Amino acid sequence: MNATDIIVNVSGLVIIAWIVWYFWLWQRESVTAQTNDGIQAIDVIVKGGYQPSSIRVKSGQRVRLNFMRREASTCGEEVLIPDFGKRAYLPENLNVPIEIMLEKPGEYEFTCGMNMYRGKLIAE
Amino acid sequence: METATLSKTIDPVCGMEVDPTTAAGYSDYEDVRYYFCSPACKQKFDTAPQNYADVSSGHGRGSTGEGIGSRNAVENVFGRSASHHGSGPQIGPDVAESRQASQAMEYRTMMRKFGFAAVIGVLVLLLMLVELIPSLREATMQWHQTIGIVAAILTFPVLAWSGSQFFVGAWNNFRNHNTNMDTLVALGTGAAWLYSTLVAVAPGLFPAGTAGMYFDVAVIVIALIVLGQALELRAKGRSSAAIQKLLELQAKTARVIRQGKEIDIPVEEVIVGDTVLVRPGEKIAVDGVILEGESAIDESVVTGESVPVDKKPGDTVIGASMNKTGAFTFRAMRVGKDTALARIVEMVQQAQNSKPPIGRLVDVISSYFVPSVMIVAVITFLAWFNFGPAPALNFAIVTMVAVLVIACPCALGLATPISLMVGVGKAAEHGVLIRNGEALETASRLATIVLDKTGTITKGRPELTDVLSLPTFSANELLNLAAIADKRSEHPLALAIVQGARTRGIKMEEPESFNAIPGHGVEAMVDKKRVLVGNRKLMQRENIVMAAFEADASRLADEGKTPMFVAVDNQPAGIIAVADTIKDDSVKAVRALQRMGIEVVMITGDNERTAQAIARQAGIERVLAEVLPEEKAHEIKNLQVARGSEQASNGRGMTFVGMVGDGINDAPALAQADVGFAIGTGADVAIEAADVTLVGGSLHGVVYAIEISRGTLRNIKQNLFGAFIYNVVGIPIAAGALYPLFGMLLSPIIAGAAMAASSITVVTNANRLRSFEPQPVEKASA
Repeated sequence: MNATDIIVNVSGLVIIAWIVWYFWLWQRESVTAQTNDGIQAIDVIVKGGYQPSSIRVKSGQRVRLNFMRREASTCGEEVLIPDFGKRAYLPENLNVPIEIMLEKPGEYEFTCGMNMYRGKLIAE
Repeated sequence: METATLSKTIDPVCGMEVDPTTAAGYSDYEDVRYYFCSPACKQKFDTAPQNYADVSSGHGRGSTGEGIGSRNAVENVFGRSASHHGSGPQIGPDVAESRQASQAMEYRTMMRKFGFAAVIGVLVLLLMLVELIPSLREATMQWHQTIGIVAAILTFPVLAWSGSQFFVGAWNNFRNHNTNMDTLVALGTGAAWLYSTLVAVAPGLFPAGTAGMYFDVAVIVIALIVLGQALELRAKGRSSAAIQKLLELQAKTARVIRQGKEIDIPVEEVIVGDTVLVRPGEKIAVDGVILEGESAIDESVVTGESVPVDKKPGDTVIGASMNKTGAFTFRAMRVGKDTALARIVEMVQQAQNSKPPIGRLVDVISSYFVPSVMIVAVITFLAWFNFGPAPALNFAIVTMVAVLVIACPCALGLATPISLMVGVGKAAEHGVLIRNGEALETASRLATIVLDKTGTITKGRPELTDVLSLPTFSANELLNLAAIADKRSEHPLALAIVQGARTRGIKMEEPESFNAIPGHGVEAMVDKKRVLVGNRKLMQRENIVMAAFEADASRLADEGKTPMFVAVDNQPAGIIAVADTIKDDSVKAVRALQRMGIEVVMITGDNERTAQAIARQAGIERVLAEVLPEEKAHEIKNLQVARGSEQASNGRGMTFVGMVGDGINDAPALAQADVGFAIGTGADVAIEAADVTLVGGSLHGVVYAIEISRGTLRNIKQNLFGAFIYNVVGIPIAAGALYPLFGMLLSPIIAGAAMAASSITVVTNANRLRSFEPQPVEKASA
C-alpha cells in the first residue's frame, strides 16, 4: 500500500465518520414558540428542511405554525402533521399558517410529503 | 352602502353569528358594513380590516402570519381555511386551482429541462462513443483532451440549469444537517462531472488507464431523473382526484328569496335561515329543511346510493345533491364548512393525511436512509479502489456514482401515503368515510363483526306484516277496524298498523271514542262496535278467550314478529302482526361478510326468541340477545378477549372485532370495538365515536369498507415491498456485487433510469386503486 492508497483510505474513513457526525449525531437546537393573544406562534422557514426543526411549546394552548417555503424545490411543497390529520400545500414565498391544539404533552412530528424533511413540536 | 348580509351576519373577527340589531358595533370597510359581537372584535378589525374583511362574504382568509411574509395563503391544498373562526369560507377550489396551475407550469419547466438535458446527453454520448471505438479513438487521439474540454463545457449548463434543483436542494439540506434525494443525485452527478472535468483538464494527474470521462453519465442521469419527477408530478395529481371530484359537486350559485324577491347569489353568500328555491334538475346549494313542495332527490353525492329519495316538507336536504323531479323551497340550516359535504371533505382529507401503523417502520428507515447510502457509496469506492481490477480508480468512481443514483428514498416515502390517499378517497365516493389510516388498517384485519339488530340489520321501525281474521271478518275489514281504533294512539306498534292500513289503501275514519290502556293496548268505539287491540294481557283482562289464535300467535312470535290480538264486541276477531323487518340488502351483506371469512354476530336488547328469528332471516348464527345498551361495550370486550386467547392458543388468525351500530345509542360499543362502524343517514355524517361512517345507511357499506381497506392495505404492502426490494437489490448490484461472479457492472445511466422508474411505479400502483370496484354483493354471496 503506497502513500496515495493510505491517503485515499484514511480520507474515506474520515468521510464516513463525518457523515455519521454531521447528519446523525448533530444536536438541533430547540426554539420556544412565543405567545401572543393566547396563541403560541412561530415562523418556520422551509428551505432544505425546517428552520427551526425543533419547537418547544406549552401543551393545552393553541399553536400556530407559520410556514413559509423559501425554495423552488418541490420536496417541501407539502407539510404534514399526521397526528392532527393536517396537510397543507405550501406555495413558494407564501405564508401558510396552520393551527393545532396540543392537548397533551409529548412530541409531535411534522414532515414533508415524502417524509424527508422532519421537524417536531415538543409540547411540555 | 352594502351591508355584509341582510338578516343575521357573521362577526368577521371571531366568526360568531351576530344580529345587526343587537350587535356591539359595526365598521364600514370598502363599502361593506361589518357587525361585531363585542367591542374587542371591533377594535381588532379596525386595526387591520384587510385581514378580516372578506371573511363574512365567504371568501375567508387564513389567520395572519406574523412577521414572516407579505402574503397569506389558506391552509389547505383543497381550499380549507386556516382560520379557526367559526365563519369558515366555502370549500372553494381556489387553492387547488392555483396549485394545479403551478404544477402544470412546473411540469412544463421540467419537460424543458429534460429536453435540454436529453439533447446534450445524446451529443455527449456520441462524443464519448468516439472514445470507446478503438479505430476512432486512435484517429482522434490528439483531440482527446479537446473532446473532453468540449464535453465539459457542453454539459455544464445541463448541471447548472436542468439539474439546478438537485444542487440547490442538496445545499439547502446540507446546511440544515439534512439529506434527501437531491443530496444523492447532486453527489452522484457532481462527482461524475468533476472527476471527468479534472481528467479532461489535467490528464497527467491520473495513472495510465484511469483517465475515463463520464460526462454522458452525469447529463443522462439528470435527464432521466428530471423526466421521472415530471411524470411523478402528473401521476400524483391524479391520486387526489376523488376529493377534487367531491369539491366539484358543489353548487356554484343558489336562488334565494330575500325580501320577497328571487335573487341568484354565489353559494358562499347563502346564510343560515335563507329560503332557497330549487327547480327540477338543479343542484341543492346547502343543507336545509324543505318548507314547501315535494321532490325526488339524488343524494348519491354523499350517500353513494344512486336511487333518488322522495322528500316532502319537513325532510332534510343535503347540499350538492341533485333535485330530480319537483320544485321546492327549503330553509338553509347549515352553510359553508358546516355542510355535510364540507364535513365529509374535511374528514376524508384528515384520513388521507394520517399515518397507518404500517407506515411507521418506513419513517424510521427513511430518516437513516440517505446518509446510509452515502456511507455505502464511500465503502463501495474504497472496496473497488483497494481490491478492484485495473483501472481500479475508474471502477471505484463508476460504482460509487451508480450507488448514489440508484438509491431511491422517495419510493419508500411515497409508498404508504399515496395509496392511503387514493383508497380513502375511493371509499368516500361510495359513501364510506374512514376516519384515519389506523382504522383502515384495522378494518382490513377484522375477524369478527358485531351487528346491532335494530336499525342496522332491520329497518329500525315496526311494519305491518300479517293480518289473520276469523271468517266473520275479511282481512281488510279487520285491519280497518284495528287501524281506526289505533288512529289516535302514539305507540309505535299502533303507528305501524295505521301506516300499514294506509299503504293498503284503506281509508280510516275517526273513532267515536278512544282509550289507551298503558301496557295493554287500546279500546275504541268504531262504527258503534267496541274494538280492542292489544296484547294477551288485554284479552285476559277483558276475559276474552283467544284459544283459536294461540298457535298462530306462537308461530308469529317465533318469526320475530309481535302479534296483537283484536276483539270486536268482546268476541275474538283476529290477529295482526307487526315486526321490525330486515332491510332488503342485509341478508346479502351478511353473506358477503361471511364469505370474506368474517364471523358475523348479532347483538340486541330484544328477547332471545325475536332475536333468533331475525338472525335466522339474516343468516346469522351467533346471537347475543337481551343485552342492555350499556352492556354492549362489555360484550364487545368479551369477544375481543375470546379472540385474543384463541389467537394465543393457536398462534394464528386475526383478533380484531368490529361493531356496526348507530352512532349515538351504540357509541360506547363502537368506541370499545377495534373498528366502530356508524350507520348514518344522509346529512348525519362524521360521527365522533366511529372509525368508519357509513353515510348511506346500508350494511353493504361495511362490506365495501372492509374490501377497500383490504385492497388499500394490499396496495401499500406491494408498494413497500417494491420499494424495499428495489433498494435492497439495486444498491448491491450498483455497488458491483455481481461483478465477481458474472463480470457484470451496472452503468450509472441504467441506475438513474431505475431510480426514476421506481417512484413512478409506486405512484402508478397506487393509482390502480382508483379503478377498485367492490365485488358485487350478489356475486360475493353466490
